[in-house]
Amino acid sequence: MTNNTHTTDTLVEMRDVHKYFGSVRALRGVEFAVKRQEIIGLLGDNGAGKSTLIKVLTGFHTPTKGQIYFDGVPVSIDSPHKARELGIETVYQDLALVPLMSIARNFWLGQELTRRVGLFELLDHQQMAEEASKALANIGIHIRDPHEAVGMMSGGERQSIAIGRAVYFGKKLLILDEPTSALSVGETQKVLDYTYAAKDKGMSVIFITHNISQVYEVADRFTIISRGKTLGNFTKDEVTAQEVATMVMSGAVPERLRLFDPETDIA
Amino acid sequence: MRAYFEDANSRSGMASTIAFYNLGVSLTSLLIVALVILGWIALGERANISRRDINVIEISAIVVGIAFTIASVRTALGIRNRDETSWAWAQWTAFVGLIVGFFMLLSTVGPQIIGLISNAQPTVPTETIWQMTLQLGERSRTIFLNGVMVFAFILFLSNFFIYRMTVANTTYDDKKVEKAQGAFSTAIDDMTPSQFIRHQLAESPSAGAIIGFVLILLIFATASDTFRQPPAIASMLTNISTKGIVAIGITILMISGEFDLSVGSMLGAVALFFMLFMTEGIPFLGINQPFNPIVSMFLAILVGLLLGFINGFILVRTGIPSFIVTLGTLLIYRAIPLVAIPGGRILRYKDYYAEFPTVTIPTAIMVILGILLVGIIIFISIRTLPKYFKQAQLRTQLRGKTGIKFGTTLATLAWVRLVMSALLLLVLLAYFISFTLYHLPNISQPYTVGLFDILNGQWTFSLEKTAGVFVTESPAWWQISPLDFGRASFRNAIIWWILLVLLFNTILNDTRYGNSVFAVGGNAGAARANGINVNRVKIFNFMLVGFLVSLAAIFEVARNPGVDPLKGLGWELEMVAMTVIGGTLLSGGYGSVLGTILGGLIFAMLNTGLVQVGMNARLFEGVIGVILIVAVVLNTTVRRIPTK
Repeated sequence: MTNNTHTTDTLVEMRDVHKYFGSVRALRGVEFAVKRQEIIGLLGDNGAGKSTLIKVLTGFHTPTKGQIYFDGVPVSIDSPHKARELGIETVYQDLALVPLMSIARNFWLGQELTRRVGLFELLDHQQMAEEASKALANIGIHIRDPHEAVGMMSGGERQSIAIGRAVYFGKKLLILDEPTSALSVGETQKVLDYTYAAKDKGMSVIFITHNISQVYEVADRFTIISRGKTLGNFTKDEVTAQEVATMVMSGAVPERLRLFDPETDIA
Repeated sequence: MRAYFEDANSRSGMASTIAFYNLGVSLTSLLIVALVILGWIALGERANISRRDINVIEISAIVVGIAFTIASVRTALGIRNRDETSWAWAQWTAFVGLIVGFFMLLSTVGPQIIGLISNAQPTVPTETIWQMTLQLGERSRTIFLNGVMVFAFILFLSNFFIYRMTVANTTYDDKKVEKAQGAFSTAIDDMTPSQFIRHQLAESPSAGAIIGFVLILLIFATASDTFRQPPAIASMLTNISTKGIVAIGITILMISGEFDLSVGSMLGAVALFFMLFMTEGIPFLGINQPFNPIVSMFLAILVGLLLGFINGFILVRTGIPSFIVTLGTLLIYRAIPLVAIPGGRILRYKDYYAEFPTVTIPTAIMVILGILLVGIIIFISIRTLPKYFKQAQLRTQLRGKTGIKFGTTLATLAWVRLVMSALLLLVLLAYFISFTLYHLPNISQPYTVGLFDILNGQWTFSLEKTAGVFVTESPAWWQISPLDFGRASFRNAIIWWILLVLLFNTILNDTRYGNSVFAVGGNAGAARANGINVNRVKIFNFMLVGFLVSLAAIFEVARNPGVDPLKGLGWELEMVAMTVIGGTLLSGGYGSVLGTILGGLIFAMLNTGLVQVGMNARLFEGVIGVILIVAVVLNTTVRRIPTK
């Protein structure tokens, strides 16, 4: 698909990735790459294989076949923990935060700040709260009270906090899984702003959706997946939103775009 | 405050409070003067009610009292008329009250302190509220608290506050204001007191349990005279302590999203194994040599950990709901004692040995322990008291400042907290110093104590069994209802319970592990995505339950050294009920150990209280059922009340 596989401007590359669940072939040779500081829209109809692809990338599933390169180095991501270590942060709609816990506790979950009290390491609640507020304010998220439970917040606010957390911890790749599908127009705009902010801080973003209107504004490039295969890979100036939507729905590349299609390219 | 004197239309809560306080003071001092004149309050030498002569001390008391009455009335009227000079009057009356209180306090506390150092023990008045005998090496000294001291203390403190309030507040440091507000909560701004209470309750996981606890306590305490007596309190705490220990584990497990029905059976099995290790060894492994009781204890804990691990392992490996897994192990673990103790027999320690086991340790260890505990108390004092003092000072300065709500209340609470913790630490310090000094003369000899007594021994309030030095005789409680500490028998398990509660409450709220427990129960997916090993947390929590169950089993055996096949039957549902009443969500992710304690106390109060108010004791379970539902409904509704 591209020739600059091992150059440093590509952050992640997945080559010929297959994933079979028994007889179900969820992925059948997907080619997918993300460049540095790039917002990429990963599109596909329901059941096209977007989620499976992302779960392979984040270590929830191991691929049946195929190779993943991260920072130009072949890696095997066999656990979510490994993915985190590499710097991949995923913001799932329902998985990112624990609703009954406070913002500060969520923000630091898994890497809490502690202070020594005698022989023991106790959580430093005050510092965690202050740092979390500061870090979120840094990318433009202003919260009322860091001790408030996340469950009391709106969907957009929750997404923002998850994004803010990923930015703060200096992750390289941010994966947003349908981040705006349940949000109002205003909140969607906010989440898109934070996505930009994340890009400004040097992160690459994968924005997964089946609805082109949500991502067309921010994305630099689109990868469209259909029935477990990569259908096409286009930069924003090559396609219109309408064409992308048609591709997602029909699963076929329009005549005009065949030129840009990687498979025709090689042939 | 200034505005109150300058603007005739303004109203000030503080001004009216001080005015009413001064009216009260004037009435009180008038009453005291009258009583002194009539001879009801006798001061000085050979005080006697039937005496008609009045001595110099009484005359001066009458003079001071009358002056105080006039000054207080003058102040109250002055404040009412917005006379600014009355402010100075208030200040002066407060200052005089402060000094009088201080000297009264000194006259009762001073001799006690001198008595501690010197050879002379001051005579202990008969009407003490509380007293404690300290063993200082050879000498024994009694320190006490009596009505005069309490009165002097209240007089001193209240006047101290008034005095501080009337001293003009000059400047405020804005940073301090911000800090104090932040330290409390930003959310309390613009709330009325009732909103504030609702907010606090909504924040707490155990709102229902708090409300239920207070209500049930008030109902029983007013309905029954014996309910608030030490013997009843001791029996309640003793009954609930071992169950409470298990409930800690159940709470933490439930917060991580699982629960354990097998605790009752597990308790029976561990108790059986503990008894077996002490009396017969491990017969089914061919070891027929009984173990040392302490070794048996550790082996029993290992058994508990293993049984807990089995629960967790099955759950994690098979993915079956914990309800099914532990229902299965409930039946399996129960089979162990049923088979091992045939025919409804009871395995008794006394059938094997004539005497209960004792441990003999060098007295030096007791001395070192004493010194260590003294050190810990001093360390805690150094860590907390200056902090509390600073907060109290800050709160006092901030009263009346714009943006500060409940300034006076918070300031008073801060001072009360400081004084209460200082007193508590002082008593503990005195006790542990006395403990050390008691053992010091015998340092070369070994010290023998009953093992079962350490584990779950009985003590009256004298604590003699554990330390041999802490003697508290309390002849009267305001002379209204005599407290009968003599018949109250407490158990050591209560102390273990409290320590374990504090420990696990800290672990749950203030450690990484505790945080991951909440995350696992709240959203296992998010926990996993954040690098938490969900299965490990779950298995660990099941083992924690096993550990606490084995502690409870050991304490139960120490209290009553016999095991019957049905030991612990029915505990599992009581545990779940206590935990749920305490506000822990059955679905996980939310709850508190302290809430479970309240749940346990509600259980204990109903258990004892229903009988004492003359209700049919068979109602107990029915009432518990009602409380359970009401508490959970309260928990969920209170959480939903909007606080703005």
